[in-house]
Amino acid sequence: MDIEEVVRIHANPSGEDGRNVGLEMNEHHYELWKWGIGHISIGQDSWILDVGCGGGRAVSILADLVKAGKVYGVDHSSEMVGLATELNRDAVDSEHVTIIHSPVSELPFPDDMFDIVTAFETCYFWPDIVEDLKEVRRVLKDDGTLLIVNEMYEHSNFGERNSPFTDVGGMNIFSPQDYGDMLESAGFSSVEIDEVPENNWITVIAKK
Amino acid sequence: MKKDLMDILACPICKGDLVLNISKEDEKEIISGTLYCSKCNEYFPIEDGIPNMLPPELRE
Repeated sequence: MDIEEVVRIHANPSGEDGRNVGLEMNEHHYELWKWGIGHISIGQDSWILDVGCGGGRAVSILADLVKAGKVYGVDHSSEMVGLATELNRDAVDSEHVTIIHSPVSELPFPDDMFDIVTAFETCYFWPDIVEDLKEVRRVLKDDGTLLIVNEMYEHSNFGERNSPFTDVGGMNIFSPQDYGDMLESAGFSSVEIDEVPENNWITVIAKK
Repeated sequence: MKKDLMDILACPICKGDLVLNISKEDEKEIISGTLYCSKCNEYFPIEDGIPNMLPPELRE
């Protein structure tokens, strides 16, 4: 699989290859997600939206943390929506978790609904990042938290590895400065960033 | 999808209320049907128990 195909299938996983990508992400990203989630405090009764929920493993981790709350997962890929529902079957049946087929750009929720919105390994592919961040901000409660966690960000240590992915189009890898600027443009406040340069991991926390 | 989801689900375009039409359901959930926004005159299908809220131009 060439890099263009890798980017395409991660942007919108479909078919058998897409399903395999979802399963692989569920395994491969587990440590990254746990590291990222550790940056915020999560109340047991929180309502959380996981945008670009992929195969649903992050939804499952979050659901374990909010026993008295709710976790919603949305993804624009029908393959991932199916996989996330399957993985969280018991929690879906008990209405603790809900999976909806939806893109980030037009979320099917009223304003001010969620305490926390999470975005793991997804905002590289958002069609209009500032507008999409505004849409995410809309569904957050006042003082709600946005958590972005990625395993790639613009850093000189990884320029040679990362640039082929952005060169083919359809994927954006942002710098810490980019995140600050974009979140400010979208109306967020108090942006905090933590990096692990040796892994190229980044966590971004912003408040509505 | 569970019927209770109607309490929070909004039209992705105008964020207004939706009207539920059920085609098939079992004891646990709605299996298929539609969600209709009268303001946008747009239908959103429920397929295999999952609401498809993609705007029409993004549907497969």
